[in-house]
Amino acid sequence: MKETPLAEFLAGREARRKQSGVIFTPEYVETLRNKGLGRTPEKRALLAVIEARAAAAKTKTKVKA
Amino acid sequence: MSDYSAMLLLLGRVFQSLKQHHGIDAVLVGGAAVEFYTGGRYQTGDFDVVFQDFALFGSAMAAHGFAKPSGTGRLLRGWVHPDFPDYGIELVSGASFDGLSDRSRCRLIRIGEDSAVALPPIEDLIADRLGQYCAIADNPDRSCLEQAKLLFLLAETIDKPYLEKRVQDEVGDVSLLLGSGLEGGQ
Repeated sequence: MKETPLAEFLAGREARRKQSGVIFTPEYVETLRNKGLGRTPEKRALLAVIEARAAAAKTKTKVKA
Repeated sequence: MSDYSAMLLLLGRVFQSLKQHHGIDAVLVGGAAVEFYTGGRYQTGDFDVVFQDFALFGSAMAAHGFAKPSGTGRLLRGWVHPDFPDYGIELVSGASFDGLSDRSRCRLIRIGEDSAVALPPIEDLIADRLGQYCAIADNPDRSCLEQAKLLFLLAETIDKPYLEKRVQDEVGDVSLLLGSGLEGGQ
């Protein structure tokens, strides 16, 4: 298994992103966000828990179970 | 350090512990792995993990402060951590991509001396997303196709024969990547 230090991995990723011209605009990010059509009951249950805990901790989360 | 990075560091410690004590790699899969490869900020806060032994995984998670959420019943295969309310971990299966993935192609990302996260081959993630996109013919989740294209576009390298085999395995359609650079190969 090829091992790569995180900093090197992230630097390479960012270089390729710049070269490709990809920009993560809010609109583009929304097209990438999973709509959850194939979520299992277990996944929905976990996402509901995360959402509830995040709300209780008054933190923001993007999860919609 | 952001909560996301701190969570990754902690999860990497769990993975390393499993590797050191049992010689088995846990692998981060799903949307969290896609995001790791692409860098977009669209994660849902859940980290999907494949590991073959539920009990061993649970013990390692508990040793690192994770707990099963209370009152969630048998549906839940997840863990949460008191310091990270925005995140949860789910053990999704015992075999990476139903055993079809070539685990020797996994990438190990070293986060710290005692922390490292294994990622599946990027070809597997592309194939998985294309398969998910094609699985619901009448109302496909277009985000899966967009993620597949982005993974392909930002890949450091692509093993084209392996990608094509895996897309076939997942009943996807590799031609959907046309326009993302597949024509010339990489």
